[in-house]
Amino acid sequence: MRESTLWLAFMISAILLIGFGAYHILYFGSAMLSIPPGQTYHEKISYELVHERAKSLFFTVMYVVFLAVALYHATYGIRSSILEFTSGSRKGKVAVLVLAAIAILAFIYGCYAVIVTHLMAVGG
Amino acid sequence: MSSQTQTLEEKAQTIVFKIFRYDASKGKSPTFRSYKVPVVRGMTVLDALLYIRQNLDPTISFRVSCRMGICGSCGMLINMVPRLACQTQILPLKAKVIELAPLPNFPVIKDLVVDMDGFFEKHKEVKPYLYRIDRAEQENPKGEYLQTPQELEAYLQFAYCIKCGLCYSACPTTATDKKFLGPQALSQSYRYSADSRDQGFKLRVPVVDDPHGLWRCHFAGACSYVCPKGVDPALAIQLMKKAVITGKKPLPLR
Repeated sequence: MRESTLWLAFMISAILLIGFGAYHILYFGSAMLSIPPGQTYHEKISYELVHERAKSLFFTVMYVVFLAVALYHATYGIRSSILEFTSGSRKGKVAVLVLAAIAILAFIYGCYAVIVTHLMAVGG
Repeated sequence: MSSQTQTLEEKAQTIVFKIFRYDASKGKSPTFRSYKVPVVRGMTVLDALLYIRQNLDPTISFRVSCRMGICGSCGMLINMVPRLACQTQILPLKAKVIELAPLPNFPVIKDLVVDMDGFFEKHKEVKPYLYRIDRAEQENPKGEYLQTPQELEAYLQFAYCIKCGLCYSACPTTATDKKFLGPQALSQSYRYSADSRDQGFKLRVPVVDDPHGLWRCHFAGACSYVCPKGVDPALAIQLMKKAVITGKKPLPLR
């Protein structure tokens, strides 16, 4: 893939992260600051409410996309540092491959957690 | 001795020059050696170096040619800032001790002389010349290519580059990534791509759109800060990024 495409995706992921991050923080932060919808923080992270949210397809899809975007953004940043400090050496290339493998594993594990929670909530 | 010369000597301040001494062929550790130079108003660092070589130490090595900021030969680290020795007056530096060292990010050959081969190789990689798809036209142009003032403005400031290497030595990315093309080559890729007479943009894209090309620039801006000709390589890199992303030859600036 062209380097410019990877960089453009990195920039788009940064913009998306602002949106997802803001939503995440405001959603839970609003509870912390007792801003409507009026629940307290402890209520909001209570098992019942988490279970209720896990039923929502919107939350499930949002967190999978959020995870993908955050992982891509972080991985690209670390890859840039590796490329810079290893000047394209074999060690650097191996490090980038290992990094990509870790990111993919983290994404699979994260998706598993989110999707299984959703299925359990819907099923149960 | 004329009275004018006498007056100048009376007015001279003594400035200590700490100069990096190293000979790669001998392989000994580098050292700094100090020289006391009488300095009067208007003297440049290059004048001081010529004074040292003529009067104090004929073994010192440095590059010099035009002595007026055009050839770009005398780039060196003057009090930790990459500058041209011929353009740097001594007294405005307001320092009693002036340290001279070779440009960073270049291998040292001897004293203040660095090996610029790698730098010029990177420069050549971006095809720094006007390219025409019609090869016969390239070799034997049929006539002149006219440009509007706006078309000239699109690349003019970047055409002032004298390839002195100061931007390359100041760049933090070049310091860490030896394969990074560097601000000089990248800005020249823009300079030629933005030229209305050039048709080589698509040829330059694969060179600069590389893991060690445009996208490693952190926009630190050190290149633009040290350029002795007022070129803004950091701007050229950002404009080239835009051109590569859109896939369109750069248009004249508005």
